[in-house]
Amino acid sequence: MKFLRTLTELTAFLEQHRLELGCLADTSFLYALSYQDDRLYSRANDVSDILAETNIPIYTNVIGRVEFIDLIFRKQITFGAIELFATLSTNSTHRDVYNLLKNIRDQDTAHRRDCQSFKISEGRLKDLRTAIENAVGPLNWRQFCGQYAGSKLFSEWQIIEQELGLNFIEILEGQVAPFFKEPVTWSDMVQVMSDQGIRAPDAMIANLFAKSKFKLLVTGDKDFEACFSNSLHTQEDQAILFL
Amino acid sequence: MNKKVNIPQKDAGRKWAQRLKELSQQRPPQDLVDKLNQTEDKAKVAKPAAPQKALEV
Repeated sequence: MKFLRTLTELTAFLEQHRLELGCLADTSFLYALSYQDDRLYSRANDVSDILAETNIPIYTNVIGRVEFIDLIFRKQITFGAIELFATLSTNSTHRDVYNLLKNIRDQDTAHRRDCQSFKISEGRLKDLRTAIENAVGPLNWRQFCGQYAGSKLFSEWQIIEQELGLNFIEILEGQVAPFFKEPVTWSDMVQVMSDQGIRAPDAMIANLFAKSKFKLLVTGDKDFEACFSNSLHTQEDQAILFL
Repeated sequence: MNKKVNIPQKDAGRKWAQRLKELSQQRPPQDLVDKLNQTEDKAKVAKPAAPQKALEV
């Protein structure tokens, strides 16, 4: 197992190895491709260009697909909340909505100072929906979502996946061909999760990579280094590129 | 049946990011802005006037 940290190392790896199947990626890479305020934006797009030049498709699992669209949705709603706050009068009678939006704007500002891309949590999304629905009704909430993340965006989703070169692996318990050298099992994923103390979606990617024939994993998550240094068995010709 | 494999296109990520940025810079729906900007005074004005007792028969 090699850890790659620069584009030069990636290019050299691609010259030495044929990636017939493509490469594996997690959502940190996909999210970094998407938002200019992510600290890994430029790197992720440079990597994507190298993969494009070398005709290497990108694979993730269906959990990664769900995570990716969820992150995009929450980020778009965050942007919408900041835009909405900018239009609000300090005299608004809807103090719950005003205070929530102000808090989101302030957190975004603080994250930008640290060069981090901020998006609201699932809990905050529910709070915002409840506050707006209580203040002005559910129709206005739906209009708001539609404006920033609605059909304009998600009707094009499959085209976006095609252009980004994304492909999704649907894994059946114990499946081997064509992507895996060993069966992928739920119990192995749970083992990785509990051994490494990482979230299930990350443990799934780690387990999937360890059992797969993929030679390259692209990620922005440094936890994978410890994961593969500690206990997961991989092949010598496999590598992880850290953005 | 073999599914078609998607291959990344050059600059696809940057174009996608630009698209998301443009979408995020829109003004919120005006109806929502107007309703949220309603002040207490306006809310009172908007309420129907209470029936005057003097008119009662």
